[in-house]
Amino acid sequence: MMKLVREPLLHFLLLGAAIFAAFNLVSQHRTDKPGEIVVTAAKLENLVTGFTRTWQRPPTEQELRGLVRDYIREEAAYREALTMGLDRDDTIVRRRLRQKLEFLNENLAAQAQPSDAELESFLQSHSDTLKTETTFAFRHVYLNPQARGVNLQRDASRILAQLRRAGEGADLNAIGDPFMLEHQFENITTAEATKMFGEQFASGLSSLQPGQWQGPIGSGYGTHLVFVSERTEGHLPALAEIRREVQREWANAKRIEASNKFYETLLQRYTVRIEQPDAKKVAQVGR
Amino acid sequence: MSGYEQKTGGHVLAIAHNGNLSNGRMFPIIESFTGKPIDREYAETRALRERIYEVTQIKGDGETHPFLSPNDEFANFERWDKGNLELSVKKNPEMLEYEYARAALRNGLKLEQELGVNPYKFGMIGATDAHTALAAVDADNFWGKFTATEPSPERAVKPILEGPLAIIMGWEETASGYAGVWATDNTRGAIFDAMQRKEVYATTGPRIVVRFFAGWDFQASDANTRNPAVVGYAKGVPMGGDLHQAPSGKAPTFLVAALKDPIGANLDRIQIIKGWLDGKGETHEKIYDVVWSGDRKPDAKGKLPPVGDTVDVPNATYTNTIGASELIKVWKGPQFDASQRAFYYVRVVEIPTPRWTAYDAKYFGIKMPPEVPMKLQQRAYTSPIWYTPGK
Repeated sequence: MMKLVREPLLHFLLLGAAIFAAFNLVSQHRTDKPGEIVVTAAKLENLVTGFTRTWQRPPTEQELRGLVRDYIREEAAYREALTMGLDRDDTIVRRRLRQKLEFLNENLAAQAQPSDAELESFLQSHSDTLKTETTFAFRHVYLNPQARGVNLQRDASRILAQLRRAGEGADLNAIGDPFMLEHQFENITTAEATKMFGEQFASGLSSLQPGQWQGPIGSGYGTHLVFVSERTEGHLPALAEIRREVQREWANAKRIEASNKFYETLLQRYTVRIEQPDAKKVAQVGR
Repeated sequence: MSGYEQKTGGHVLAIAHNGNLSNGRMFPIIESFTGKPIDREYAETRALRERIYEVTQIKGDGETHPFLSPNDEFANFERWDKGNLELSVKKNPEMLEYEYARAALRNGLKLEQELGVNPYKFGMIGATDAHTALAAVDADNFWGKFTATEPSPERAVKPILEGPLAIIMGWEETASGYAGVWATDNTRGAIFDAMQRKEVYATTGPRIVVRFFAGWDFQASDANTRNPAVVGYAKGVPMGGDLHQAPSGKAPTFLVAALKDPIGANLDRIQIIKGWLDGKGETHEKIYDVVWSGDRKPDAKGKLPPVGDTVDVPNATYTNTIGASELIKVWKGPQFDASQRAFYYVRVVEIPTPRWTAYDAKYFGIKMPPEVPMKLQQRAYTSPIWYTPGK
């Protein structure tokens, strides 16, 4: 019995039954006999509320008549369509019904509140995705490959030697070529460096030791000599710092887990047979 | 829009797009619904509300058209000129003048002289107009306009729009564009303000960085600076700005700079496009090559030789062995007449690269129909800077 009480599918079915019972209570179907459409007072109120929410004012009398007329048509069309079986084999109807079912299930999963211990353990086991990126503070000198042509490598060595003599505080106003991006960056991540300079530069930056002019390293623009003054390794923040993100990730993981479990349980009630497609047909579909 | 602002205290701007599918209705001189010439009130409303225009997007490029700019060798770019959006009314050439940005900027000068307000004094941005929520409109990363035109072996040869008079095929989609904004901060408010002062530019897909300043005192040496913006703001106004009443004997000087997309193609050239209104009330346009890659020399007629072409269409590749990674120059326009209204904007042109159709053909191993263009020269357009005589 205890096992049954913990069974997610049972929770789900009970909750679902409750929602549908409530829905039936407020829906007007109960009062309708076949061949009769009743627009209840509750339905009228519902139409007015919906209109008011969209237009920021209640409908005029004429608009309300239009709403009611449309509702009557919708109800009649809906019933006829069901009678004719138009809901069957319809991609959109199937997708919508599946969505409603999954929403109910996921809502159930979203109710759970994690304890600090649970979140802490989640943080530790997902350190790869939750840790901060390594950041760099650096200055650089740009050498334009079109301007320097075949002398590029020679110039790079000469300027590097010059920069090493001058050290970190080298006056960059008279060294290197004009360049439209900044010549000094504080705390930029590898991802930001990739966006601004391209992947080659970003990976080059990661390989440099702080505290010395180094290079040349290439970018999407040309060649750079770089002084990394500070490199802050990516680290795993304490739970208190990123509690909200951890909780969001945790909830998402739970949602996926619940969904998998739900289908696992659901599919226990079915036998599934996958037929082999006709080999000839497949050949026709391929190009 | 005014109602919204009064009621909420908020601010709102409108960005019109797809003039190229308006059949002459986007930038009218005669208002098409009333049949009357546009008046001062109309001009004031457009100037107030439509401060920037979407000049390029997936449904075609809207800078100019070969019919309007026969002397512009780059005018024939990603054209959608079969008809209106529904393709129910065909395009006739007389409509084009009232559809394209450059012609509208020219007519704006004329209307300003007549009405006292320039209705078409707009800055320029690009956008995707994609319905996919994906900012993926560069040629090697093009995810299409609709979910139905996301990458597939068939997307290029399926119609994207079908009307009673014409069909537009998937391959005609343009992998374009993006908006560049020079904001003081990466916040909603600062970006809105930058758009209101038209300090913006458009690109057709590459993430090119462009600076453009105008003033009376830029010197050739200002182009040797490491940071063109410092001298640019100190001595001039940025893209979207205004120059008034030339100091006696002076002509405007321009500082222009462009940096290639770090993961994209090198640059072929920077051009400045000037439009002006002469003493007889006629408008003109002229394109100046301002700075270019390599040691090319313009020929006797002033035409700069092409940059070259490294595109390998079957493999959808190119090399950056031609072109420049950065171009910068101080330029002084010839033929300046201080009594004539004018505008100047920048067009940055990349070296030839494979069009998205070439990447598709390679990736899916398919053959495109012969009419499908397989390479192009991408570009960026800045907002103009206007010169107005008087104060």
